[in-house]
Amino acid sequence: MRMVLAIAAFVVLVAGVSVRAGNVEGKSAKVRLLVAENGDSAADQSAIQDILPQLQATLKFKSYRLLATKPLTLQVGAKADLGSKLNLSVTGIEGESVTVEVSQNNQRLLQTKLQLVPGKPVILGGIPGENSATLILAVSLE
Amino acid sequence: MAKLTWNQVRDELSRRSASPTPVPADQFWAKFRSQAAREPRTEAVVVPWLWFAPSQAWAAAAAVAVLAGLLWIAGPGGGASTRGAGGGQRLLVSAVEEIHVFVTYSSVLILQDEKNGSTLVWLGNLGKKDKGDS
Repeated sequence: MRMVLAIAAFVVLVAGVSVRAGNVEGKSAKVRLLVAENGDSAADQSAIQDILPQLQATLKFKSYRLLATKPLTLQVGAKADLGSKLNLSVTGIEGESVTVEVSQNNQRLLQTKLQLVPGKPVILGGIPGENSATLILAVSLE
Repeated sequence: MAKLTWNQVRDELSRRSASPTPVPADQFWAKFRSQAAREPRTEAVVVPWLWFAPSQAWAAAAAVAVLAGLLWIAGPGGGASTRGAGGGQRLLVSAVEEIHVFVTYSSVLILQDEKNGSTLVWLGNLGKKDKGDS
């Protein structure tokens, strides 16, 4: 009995360590591009329901409209072309963290290292768009 | 009640309870062995403490280890650490560990929404005339 328990404990702990040590490389993520507007929007907002509460609670824009949704595999070199001459690319993966770079018109705007929890997005906002639009990126691990 | 002297008490007792007739030795031992075989004996049980105690300890330690492993696997974030932007605390929130801005900006605002689990990074005046450092 005690031998069985000891083996079970060993197996569970080894499994736990292996699961914990797993990184995000190869996992699927989703990148959404939104535009923040000061007019009323009749656009369907079901695809941004998960981030709307925080946007509405924090920012003073009247509405938010989804412009694009792109899949992104978390591996170095992966890139999502979001339109509006905006690109997001994966430049590094370190364990549980992923580093992404946002560029516009082939110019680097920012680079950020993120720890993503599935279904919990990181929102990067304040990116200037065409016609003085304000663009927002939402990166989430699926 | 009449008061008796010690001698009277002795005589009275010896008269009332006459000594039983001694049982022959073979009959006595036959009866003794018969009862001994029939009745349960309450001999002291030798407890193997040296074996028993360590085995209990092993079982308890193994059970605790199994439980700890399961809790660890099923812990917050599963395979992903969920350290907050403030560092240290484990939350179910995606976090921003570092950010470098390569163009001008006026401010960087990072807000964590623990209720929804999202994190908002807002860059003020990104790429505009105001100067800023990364």
